[in-house]
Amino acid sequence: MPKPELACLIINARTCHKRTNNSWILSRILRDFDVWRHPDCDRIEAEKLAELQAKEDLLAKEQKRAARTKRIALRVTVWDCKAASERGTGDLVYWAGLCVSAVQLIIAAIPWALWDERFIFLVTAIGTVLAYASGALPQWVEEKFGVRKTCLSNPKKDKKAVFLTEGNGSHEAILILSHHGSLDLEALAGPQRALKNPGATRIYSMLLAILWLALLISVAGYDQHTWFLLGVGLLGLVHNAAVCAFRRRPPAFGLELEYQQTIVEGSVMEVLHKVETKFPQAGAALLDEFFSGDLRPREELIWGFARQRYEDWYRDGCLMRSDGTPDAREMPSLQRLVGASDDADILSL
Amino acid sequence: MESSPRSTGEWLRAQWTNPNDIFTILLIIGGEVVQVAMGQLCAGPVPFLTPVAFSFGWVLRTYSYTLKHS
Repeated sequence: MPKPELACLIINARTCHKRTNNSWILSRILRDFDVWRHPDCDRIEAEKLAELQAKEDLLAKEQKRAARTKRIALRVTVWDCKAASERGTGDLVYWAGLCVSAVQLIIAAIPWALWDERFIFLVTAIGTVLAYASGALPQWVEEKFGVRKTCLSNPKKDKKAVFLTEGNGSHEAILILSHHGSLDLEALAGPQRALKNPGATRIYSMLLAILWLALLISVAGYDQHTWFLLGVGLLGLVHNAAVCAFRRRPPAFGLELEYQQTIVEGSVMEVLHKVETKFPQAGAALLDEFFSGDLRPREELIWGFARQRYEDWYRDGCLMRSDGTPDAREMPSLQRLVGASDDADILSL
Repeated sequence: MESSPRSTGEWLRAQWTNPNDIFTILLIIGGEVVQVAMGQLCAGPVPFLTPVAFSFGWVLRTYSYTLKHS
């Protein structure tokens, strides 16, 4: 499999462990997020931005100063991974490959029909067979998906939660909640793959290499109606380049993601606080990445409380309320209470 | 008796009418494109079917793969 094109991280939202992504498909899913994300992600962000800007405009007017332009610092979108299998769905780009191969054979058949010249058709047919034989190598699937399945101690209640993000400074963090038995996305981001039969792959790929070389030698120096041969190759090249650039949705990579919610705020700390409120420990998992330096005294206290809150909630069996929120203690406010001169409100919790 | 060398115009005309010795070179370049296309299309809905069309770059791609796994 090719190397990831977009440098990104996978962060476990429970253990807070972070790893550099080595999976090409996970990097593609993040890269192509603007193609497959739910329209609500943009709508909620735009509404929040308008709300923040209106507040800022009002405040600036009261304080008789110029209004600052507000922005959304971080957007966390939450997705429920309904299925993660080792088979992608067939989309346009998948089936188009068969059509291109058919057109190539038709082009190659023209010299045969016009001048009884079979060589170009023969080369194209053998090249097509070799290309499909190379793609049939089972190791491709193993390199793409050959990792363990998600294993949860409480499959009915629990889900494995991982963040997919480019890290500190990025605008997007995708929180994916996986079910028991589906593909383990954290393992997928690792560099290792379980290969069943590397010896057979070696022999098979060497055999294919010899056959490709034989084709190359056969074609070398051929000088009859070469535009047809070039046309076949160029069509394949254009198709392959188009396949590379094509932006695909997660089902094409075997992941069926259902949109859950979008969490946006004006500052990263506010977003993490909101994430922590809704998904205990998930906000803390992003804290190390997005705030690698010192925190403010109140923030230190809040995240210390959040850790204890998560441990209590986990010990009680990760109970959820009927509205889908965690049955855990309330998180203290990020801002000091009005009129308060210290952070006693957190210490008293 | 030596044949007189062709002019640049004649040579270009001949090469663009019927290109020579180019296919061999083209079959070698573009291995990365084939690799990414394989990454996109492998493990699709039909087992063992990866519809990546025959193109330039396959020879290099196959040799890179063989070297990586040998």
